Amino acid sequence: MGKFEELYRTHVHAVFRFAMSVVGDRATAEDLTSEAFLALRRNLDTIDESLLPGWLLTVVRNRARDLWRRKSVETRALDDLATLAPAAAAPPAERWILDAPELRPVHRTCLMLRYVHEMTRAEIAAKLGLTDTQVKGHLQYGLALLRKTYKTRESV
Amino acid sequence: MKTPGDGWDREEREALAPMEAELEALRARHAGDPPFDLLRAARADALPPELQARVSAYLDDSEWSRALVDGAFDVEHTLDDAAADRLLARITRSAEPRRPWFSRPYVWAPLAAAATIAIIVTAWPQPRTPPSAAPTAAPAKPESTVARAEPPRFEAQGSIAGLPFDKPDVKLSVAALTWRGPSGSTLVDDLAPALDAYRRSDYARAAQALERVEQRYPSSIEAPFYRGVSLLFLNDYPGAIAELQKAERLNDSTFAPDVAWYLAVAEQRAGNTVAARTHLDALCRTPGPRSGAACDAIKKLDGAR
Repeated sequence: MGKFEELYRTHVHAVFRFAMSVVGDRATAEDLTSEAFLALRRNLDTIDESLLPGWLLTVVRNRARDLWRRKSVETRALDDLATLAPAAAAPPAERWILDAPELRPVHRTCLMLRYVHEMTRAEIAAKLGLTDTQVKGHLQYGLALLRKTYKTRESV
Repeated sequence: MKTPGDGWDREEREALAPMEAELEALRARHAGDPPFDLLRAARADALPPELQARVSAYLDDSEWSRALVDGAFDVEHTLDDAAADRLLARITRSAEPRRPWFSRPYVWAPLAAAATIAIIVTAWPQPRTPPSAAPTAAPAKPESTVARAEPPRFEAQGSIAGLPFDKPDVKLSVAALTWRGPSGSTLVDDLAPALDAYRRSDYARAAQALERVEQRYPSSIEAPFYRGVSLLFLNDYPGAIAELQKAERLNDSTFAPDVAWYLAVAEQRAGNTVAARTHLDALCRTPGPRSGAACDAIKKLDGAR
């Protein structure tokens, strides 16, 4: 196995995981991962191996920035971003979603995307790189907890 | 009209019925939140600086948005062995140097065949015919079906000399390598015929093909840039300026110096020397691949006044 392949096998999973968390979409994450390793291959003689995998993650991050530059039209709508921060008092359901210790971050995100940001299960699966079944499982878990909490609250 | 409960199953409707009013308030409260993808990219510090600063500030202020994107980082994404091998093969293929055109057998085969035919035809004994008394009319040149243009020569225009104008090599942005069209085709695939025409200096065909790519991928820097250069070679200066200005608005750091340089060339050739000078000044001030040429061009322009 050559030096490049050895480095590839060592770091590809971490780089891909990072790319997935940045873009969510598997095909784009694979593209970004491949770009990062292509850059490594081209700089193999000069790169300090102790900088890996940070160096590769930086390439992914920079490529992702380039993709966002292309989306400048979409982001123009964010001109009033500062004024959009929620100002009204949060309803109790918000505090429950944010504070329930039994919820893992991914449960919380599925609940938020489904019942507040009104996405379908398929849309959530695509955004998070999960299967429909996984999303359904996370939602069922979150809903069961929510139901229990509300029953307790009503009985009090 | 879509209502929040659309698409929910029975279990969801039953569980959420007691808190519907609260959920409605939550939806109203977060209706203007930035898109999930933007928040996630900001969390990974993967946005262009100005946007990153604004979205990060939003994330700092919004506990909800922070929790929303935390889930994206809580998922363990895996790449199985087959996918890792496939990706490695793709990287290896992309890293291989492209063979120069003259080393490709399909380039030489037709040339060799043509040369053989030419030798046979020349060497074949021809029947001698007496020279005709009256010269025959030269056969009309066949109309070329493809408009080819050479770079405009360096000519004095107004009071200043023309800017040097070479043909930029084809390069692709990172986005071009990662973009997919709606039908699954990639931007690179769709660009290929246009850029092949450009490489052959078939600028008319390149400009036509790039126009189609531009309509399909309005955010591609390659389409307006190479279309602008193609129009410049076709001496269509207003067209070139319009295309290069589109490329300039896309603000791609890889292409920016070239875009500015060819804009200066197009403006100068269109007689807009002030605009040309503005582009050259900016290029000269910013260290980069075109800054030396831009500073030299400014000296020449000033000397020509």
